Amino acid sequence: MLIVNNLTSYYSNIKILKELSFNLNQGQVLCLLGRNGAGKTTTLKSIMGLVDKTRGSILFNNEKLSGIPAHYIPKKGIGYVPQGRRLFLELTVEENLEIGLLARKKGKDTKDKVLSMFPRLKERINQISGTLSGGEQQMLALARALCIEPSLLLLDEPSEGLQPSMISLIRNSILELKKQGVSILLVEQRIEAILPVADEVIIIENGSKTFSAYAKEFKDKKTLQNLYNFTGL
Amino acid sequence: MDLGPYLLFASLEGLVHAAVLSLIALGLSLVFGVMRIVNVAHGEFFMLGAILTWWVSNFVMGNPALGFLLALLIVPLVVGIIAMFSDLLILRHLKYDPEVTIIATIGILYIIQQFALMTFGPDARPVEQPFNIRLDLYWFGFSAYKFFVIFSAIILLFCVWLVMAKTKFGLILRATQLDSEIAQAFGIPISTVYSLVFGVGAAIAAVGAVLIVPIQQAHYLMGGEPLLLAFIVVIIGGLGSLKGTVVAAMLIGISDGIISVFFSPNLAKILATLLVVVVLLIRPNGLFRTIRI
Repeated sequence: MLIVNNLTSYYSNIKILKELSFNLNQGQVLCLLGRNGAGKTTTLKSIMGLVDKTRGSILFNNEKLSGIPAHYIPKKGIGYVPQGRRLFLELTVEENLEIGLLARKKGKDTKDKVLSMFPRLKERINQISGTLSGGEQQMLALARALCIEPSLLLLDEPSEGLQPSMISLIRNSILELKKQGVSILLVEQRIEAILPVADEVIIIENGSKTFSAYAKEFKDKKTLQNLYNFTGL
Repeated sequence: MDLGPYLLFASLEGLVHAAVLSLIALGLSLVFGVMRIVNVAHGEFFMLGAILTWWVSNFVMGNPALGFLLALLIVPLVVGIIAMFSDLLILRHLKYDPEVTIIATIGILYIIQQFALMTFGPDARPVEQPFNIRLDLYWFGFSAYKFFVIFSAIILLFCVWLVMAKTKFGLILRATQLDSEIAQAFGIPISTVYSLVFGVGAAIAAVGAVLIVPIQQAHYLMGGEPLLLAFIVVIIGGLGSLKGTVVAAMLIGISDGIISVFFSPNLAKILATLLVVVVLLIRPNGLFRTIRI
């Protein structure tokens, strides 16, 4: 459903991504793994149309995403959970979700469905989102993206800075979404965070793909060693 | 007149100016808050509102209230559309780069000002008050129209607050203000939002102009001083903060009125500017703006 072909992205003439290519099939979880500054976040931003200058092509359900204005991209059914959560911190939980719902004109049904996944947000619906704990903020960032009822979800380091119980809660949500047929592109730095959920792993270094492996190969010691080597852990 | 009534008179005069000032500053603050640009041409949109009001009121014969009402309806609309076009034609192509935008809005300032000079001329022209009633306040008489100005400004401020706090459009504006990139990632067409905000900001200033012209006369250079005062107000109140803008406008407007009446208008400006320096030193984000990380 998502085909990225020879994607090259620039930030003010500095090449960040170099001819990156990968495919993501429906209901699959694809993980991009790599060190700081490898280009993982830039890959997600390029898909969302938030990078000024890109070359190559991004196809989503046979539609070209590259070149269309950024605000049309979520309307195609792509939900984005950015790095560092990037909530509208001065708005309430409900208002943050409202922004998500507005994107594809979804209504109360969607909101109720999303809130049933995260009962803690329901309890804090009128709270200013900046006053939530880190884990709750991450839940809200995920919930906000789910309010557009995405068929593709982009997750940028959702486990960053969270306590273990929160990480497993987020992981369970990912597995639940996968079961519902949502495709997920997951960016992480730590390999432990993704092994239980990933169908395929791609290692990115200096903006290019250097290694990739499927889930069934994870048991293979050599593959695993390779993965650890590339991420430097 | 005793000191008490004299002080009341000065405060009322100050309140009229504070009302109009809060509208001008609100427009400036809205544009900065959402678009993160400093609009140096803001005062000229105010001036444009004033001279258009003069035209409309001269065009409509008969009862001056008729021309005034018509002006109140169409002048903000026309000024807003002109502002939107200057955004579409100029600012959008500069990608709202903060420094370049300042230079560009200085350019817009001169274009509007010279256009006004060429068409409207260098004279100050009065507009008749829509109604001429004096209220007897025991010690002195005070124009009922001035109360109407204060009242109208309060209504408009309340409407703006209502739109910002309670409507979907307001929510979209606040989200764009907080994080425009993420707003885009959730389907908000920020360039359309920017054009609208630039138009609305100028239109609010134009409403202020329509209200003040029957008291102050229209002149092609009248945009300079309100711009300076509006800057002072938004710096003291905190850019992008509605509450801060209103409170600071009251503070500056009323103290300006009192100091002008008792001492001199120049002293009022000097003290206001001094206040800006003090606020910038002790609370650089303004009195009502919490620091955002």
